[in-house]
Amino acid sequence: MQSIVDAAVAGRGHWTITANLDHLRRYHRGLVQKGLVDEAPPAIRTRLRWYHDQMATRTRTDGLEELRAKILDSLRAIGHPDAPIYIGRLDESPDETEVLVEVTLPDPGDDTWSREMTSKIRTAVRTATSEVMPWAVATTRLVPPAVPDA
Amino acid sequence: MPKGAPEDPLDPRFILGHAKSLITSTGGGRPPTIDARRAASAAYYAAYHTVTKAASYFLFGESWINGVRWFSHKAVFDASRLVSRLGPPHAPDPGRDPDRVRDHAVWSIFRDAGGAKPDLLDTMEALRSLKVERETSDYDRTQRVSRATARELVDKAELVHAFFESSRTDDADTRVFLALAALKT
Repeated sequence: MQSIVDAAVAGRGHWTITANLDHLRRYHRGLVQKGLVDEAPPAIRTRLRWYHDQMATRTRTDGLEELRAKILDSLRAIGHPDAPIYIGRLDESPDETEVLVEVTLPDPGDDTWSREMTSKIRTAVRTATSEVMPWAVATTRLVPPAVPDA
Repeated sequence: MPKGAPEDPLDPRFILGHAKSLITSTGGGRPPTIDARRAASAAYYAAYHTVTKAASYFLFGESWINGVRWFSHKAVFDASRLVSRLGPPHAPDPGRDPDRVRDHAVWSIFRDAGGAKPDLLDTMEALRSLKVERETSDYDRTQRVSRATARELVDKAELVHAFFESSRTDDADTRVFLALAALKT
């Protein structure tokens, strides 16, 4: 802004090129050469970087639906075709997301779910997560169908 | 791990025994759900104390009992997430960007150690599952904690306990986790 004001006060011409939405998208997708960005004035660099971060966060959030589909496929493959699942974010930092995957299983009553089965489910969730969202870690919660508390 | 008779009043074996007693049928009728909630909570604490004991022993040897209070829940879970994310043999290289230096270092250490083995990865996730369920059990009045879930968690806590009482604590991948828990503290 100061360079624009200085140019106006001095009565000389000035070019101002702002980053428009297309520039921002191209930067986010890596289509803009890094050298060009590095040479840009700080205000534009900041804006490009902000947009990049915003898009990165959105992409990470969008990964949940893909992850859900992948986990359902994996559960189908190990013999749990109709297991209802819930996926949500437990914790998120710039480097890492912790995803909670809640899998509803038939109530074993007074018994315990087989260790082999629960291990297979957790492994399937873990593998799917590393494939779809490599920056995330999954924590699996196994629950019986909901009924009111006594 | 320390050998001999336990002198620790919070010995994880005592806490596990307490958790199991809460979910063992003693009579007819439907057991109170508060027992399942308290069992889930106790299972988590058994696992947490198991880990801090192993990590403290790794650092302080026979003086471990004086070191356990240095560890925090957050440190243990931050470390467990690092193992789950960067430890698996197929984990992608986080890259060498300046903001990925620490991740790349942990990833490289695991590569040198041959990667985190499946039983360590299972143990890390069991720890986090126990923590999620403890928070539900102790604070969430809207969700149900069933006896089946509590039994599953006690089973998980026993796995965690067995893992850290075994010779697996001498292996390179487990030592990376114990070191990370200390560094995160």
